[in-house]
Amino acid sequence: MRSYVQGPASVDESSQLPLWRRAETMDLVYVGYGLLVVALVLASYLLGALGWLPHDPQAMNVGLINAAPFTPGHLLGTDFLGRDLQARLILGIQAYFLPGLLAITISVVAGSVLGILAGYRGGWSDTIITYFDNLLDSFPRLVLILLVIASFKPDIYYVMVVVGITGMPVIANLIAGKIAFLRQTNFIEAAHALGLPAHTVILKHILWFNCRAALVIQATLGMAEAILVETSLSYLGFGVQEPTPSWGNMVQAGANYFLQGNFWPSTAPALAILATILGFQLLGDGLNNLLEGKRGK
Amino acid sequence: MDAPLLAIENLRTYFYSRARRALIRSVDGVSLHVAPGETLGIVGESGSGKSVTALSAAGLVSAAPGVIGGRIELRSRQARRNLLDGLERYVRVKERDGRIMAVEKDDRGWRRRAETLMKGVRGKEIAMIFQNPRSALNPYSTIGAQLVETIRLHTSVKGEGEARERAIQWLERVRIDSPRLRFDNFPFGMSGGMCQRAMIAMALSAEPSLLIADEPTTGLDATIQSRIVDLLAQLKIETGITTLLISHDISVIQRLADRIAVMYGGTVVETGRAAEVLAPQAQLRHPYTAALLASVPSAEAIRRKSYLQAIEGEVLDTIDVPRGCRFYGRCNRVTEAIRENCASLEPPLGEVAPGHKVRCWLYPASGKA
Amino acid sequence: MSHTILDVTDLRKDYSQRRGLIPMLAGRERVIPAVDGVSFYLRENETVGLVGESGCGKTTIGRTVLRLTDPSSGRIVFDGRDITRLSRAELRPLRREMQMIFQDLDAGLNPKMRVHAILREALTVYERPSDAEIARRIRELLEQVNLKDSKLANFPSQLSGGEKRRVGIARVLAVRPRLIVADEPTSALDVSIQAQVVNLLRDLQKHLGLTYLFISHDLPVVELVSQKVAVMYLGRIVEMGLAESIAHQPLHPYTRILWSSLADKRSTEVNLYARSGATAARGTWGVFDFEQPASGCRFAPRCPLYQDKGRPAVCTDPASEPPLRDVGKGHVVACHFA
Ligand SMILES: Nc1ncnc2c1ncn2[C@@H]1O[C@H](COP(=O)(O)OP(=O)(O)OP(=O)(O)O)[C@@H](O)[C@H]1O
Ligand SMILES: Nc1ncnc2c1ncn2[C@@H]1O[C@H](COP(=O)(O)OP(=O)(O)O)[C@@H](O)[C@H]1O
Ligand code: SF4
Ligand code: SF4
Ligand SMILES: [Mg+2]
Ligand SMILES: [Mg+2]
Repeated sequence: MRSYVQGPASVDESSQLPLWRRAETMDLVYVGYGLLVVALVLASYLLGALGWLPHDPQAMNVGLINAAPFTPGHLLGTDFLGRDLQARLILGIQAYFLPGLLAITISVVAGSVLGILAGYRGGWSDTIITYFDNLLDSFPRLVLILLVIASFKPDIYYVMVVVGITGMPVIANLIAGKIAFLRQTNFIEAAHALGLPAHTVILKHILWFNCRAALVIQATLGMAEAILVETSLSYLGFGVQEPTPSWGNMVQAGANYFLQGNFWPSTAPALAILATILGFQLLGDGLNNLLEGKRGK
Repeated sequence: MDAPLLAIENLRTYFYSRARRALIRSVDGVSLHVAPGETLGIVGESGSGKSVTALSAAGLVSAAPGVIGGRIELRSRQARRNLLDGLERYVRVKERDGRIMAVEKDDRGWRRRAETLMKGVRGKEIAMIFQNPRSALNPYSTIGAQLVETIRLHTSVKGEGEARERAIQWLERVRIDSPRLRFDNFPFGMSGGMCQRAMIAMALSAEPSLLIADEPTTGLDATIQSRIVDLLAQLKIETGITTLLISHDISVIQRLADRIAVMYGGTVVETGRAAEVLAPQAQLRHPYTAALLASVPSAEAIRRKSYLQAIEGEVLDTIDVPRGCRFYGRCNRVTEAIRENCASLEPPLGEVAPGHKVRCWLYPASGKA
Repeated sequence: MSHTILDVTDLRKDYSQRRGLIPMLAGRERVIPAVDGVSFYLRENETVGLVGESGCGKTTIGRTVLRLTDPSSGRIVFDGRDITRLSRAELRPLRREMQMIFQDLDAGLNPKMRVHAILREALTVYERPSDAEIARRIRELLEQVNLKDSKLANFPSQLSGGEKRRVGIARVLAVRPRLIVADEPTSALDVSIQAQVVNLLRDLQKHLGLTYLFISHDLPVVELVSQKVAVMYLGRIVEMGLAESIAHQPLHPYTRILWSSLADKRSTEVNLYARSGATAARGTWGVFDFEQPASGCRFAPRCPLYQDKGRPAVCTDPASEPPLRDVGKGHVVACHFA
């Protein structure tokens, strides 16, 4: 038995209700959690950048290695060199924040340009960009990254450039798709017919009004992606190099002591990664459902 | 009048709008009868519930809650059966002030039940043709193969060669030129009009008792529309098929229908013999029918270059169905004497002349139902 | 005699279709001559109707004369100025004088913008009016198209078909055009709403002195609103003349079929088009195909007159496509036997 009830809000304007009134509860939970993670990440970045850390992250204390959480003076314990985990976790964000932003910026900006060229200009630029996108898509991303590392140097910024570039096709397709949709309803031609200049149509109508939500969502997902890539690389030893902390190399370093029963030094950064990636993913999903109305089949 | 071949009684088919948290009253108490050999035309603007009525009759309503009440009786060759038999066991409704405010439906249970009821009916007893013929044909199979399949599935003709001959006969009957060549054509090579002919052949080749044609000419060109209308008129004479014909184009209905039902906002507002309902000098006419007819420019209006008599206002939204007459907001015939009724009480479908019913407070006969 | 606002001479528009990288590099393309040598003119404050079946090139003519797409050849003169080869930038100031109402109801209505923002944008394309002036103009526009101001806060998806059409018209009127190409302005609307929009367009013409190129399938409406009617077949005008003559004394076999199909459909109705003579013409109807145009007269494959005349060779002579002949009173027809 399913029931279908005429609700009290059935009268008209319900689609003009504020976003949060129309939303599904789960989406609000997703977005709420995601925003919390974003806030924590931002705060950690600022703390790290300003050097306001609970401890010196590089100060070793050989007398107190692999300490458990809640050890006096070390809220989250210490690692194999006796360095404060809490401070290193906070500082670890530095490894992702700017590189992640770089990757996102590259994929959003270059992806948008390609998408607009393909969708708006059409013709041969569409054909060429489509082939380029397919080519890029068919390359395994990790192989590409390792190639770059091998030919240049294992620098996180180089890696993020690759992440950014490989993220372009998704954005380009998304924008080209939106443009194709607007074209179908003759929206773009009508805008030209009215006399609106091309840059107004592209920047205001296409990008701002019709793609901004999708771009924010993609950027969010891109951040999660960047963290994941750095983690995998660190695990292989190609990521951020010790003694600079990143969550990836902390997991990797801690893993050596895992079998000796010291779970915590690698579990703590792993949990941080998990919680953060989950936060960005859920934020992306939740925003997608809220802003683009994807829920409800 | 003969006992009807199809009798729809008080059909209600509702949908649900999640965004507006409201029931969509697409078909809201529709009763229709189609006598054997007759063509009943349903006319009305888009959203008035024409298609949903037809889909309900064919058991093709897929969205929920779907059909929630009524009887659909089909007198097929073998027997008379109610295609909604036992529906009431799957549906519970809550009414307030005579209006359904909540529906509970065991959709899965009903679906299973409906499938057994519809077995051997859809495609066989009831065949349908739709507005967009191209999308209804399988693009990966030749029209010949599709016809042969239908014939072998639904008729006593089972042999491959025999079915092939029958298929070619049908292509001829729908006036497809060089049918033997067209037999091997795929739908994409054919024009819209040609596809519609193939669709009609496909529907009729099952030798159904009832043909439902939902907007068979809409979307085709003026010249081709009239050819399809011609064809349907000729096939009606040749095969005597009983037809439920749906169109928003009153001229198509005029040309083909014996009887007509005018729908507005999920209800039938007028029904009767086509000649009588559409007769130019008819007096007892529903204001909506009158307005529809008047909005088509007459030769006289064209000559004088006069303004068209438009129906003011907007198409009725079947979510916000008013309490009184559904046409009240747009009606230009309301008199002071009946205004209160029009605004607050839905008029019944009353008989104004034998076999001619109108749902309007203007006509005294409406008092008795 | 009023002034000629649009003069089109021998207009051609080929669409080329290239699919995929290989044909593109190899330079193979399919060419569709959607408009194939069309000439006509519009006088100020007059309506010319353009009829013909789907795909015959009506929309393409509209788009080309407004230079929304580039003509392949021919000449387009708007208000005494040759605009055939003007660049985008040179066209922009002219755009405000010539506008288009698109077949699609959603054309020009950004789904993410409210009606108010849509109208505001249209008002500020060419001018920088003050906020008070904008408010005044928006009120005026709403009044002109008969739209309730409660709709200003709606998004396009929250409008009915008729309301979308009105907003679309208001948006076009905002720039104060002189010429409007109305491409099937009613075909996407409900029957009960169509008459409202036709009346509205005629009212606007009367009050604002607009000139219309009125494209439509709806023959009675075309006859009602137009002074002149052009009938198109497969990219060409096959007959053109005063609305009354085209409707009541059609000469080209195609025009006759077009109008008789209407008469057929309405044959049980007393008042409409039940003229004897016109009904007699009944064409066979083949598939029509831009890629394999018939040699000679392009209508020959479907022409009943061609059959009746015993398939005269002149109709299929590859060297002589029948030209538009003047048969008096500005009535022209492209048929050897009309
Ligand atoms: N952008 C395009 N690229 C390629 N071919 C096109 C394009 N636009 C239109 N065509 C083709 O040109 C021909 C004329 O199209 P047009 O849209 O002008 O027809 P129309 O008369 O307006 O038809 P309708 O009544 O269906 O709107 C058609 O065969 C169509 O398929
Ligand atoms: N699957 C569905 N879900 C929700 N609403 C529907 C569905 N199918 C039809 N409707 C609504 O039912 C009403 C009647 O539709 P329909 O019968 O298709 O109209 P028409 O008279 O044009 O054929 C419309 O308001 C339409 O939006
Ligand atoms: S009942 Fe009243 S409002 Fe309804 S159609 Fe009749 S006169 Fe008009
Ligand atoms: S020229 Fe010949 S084929 Fe063409 S329209 Fe006239 S009679 Fe028909
Ligand atoms: Mg329908
Ligand atoms: Mg068109």
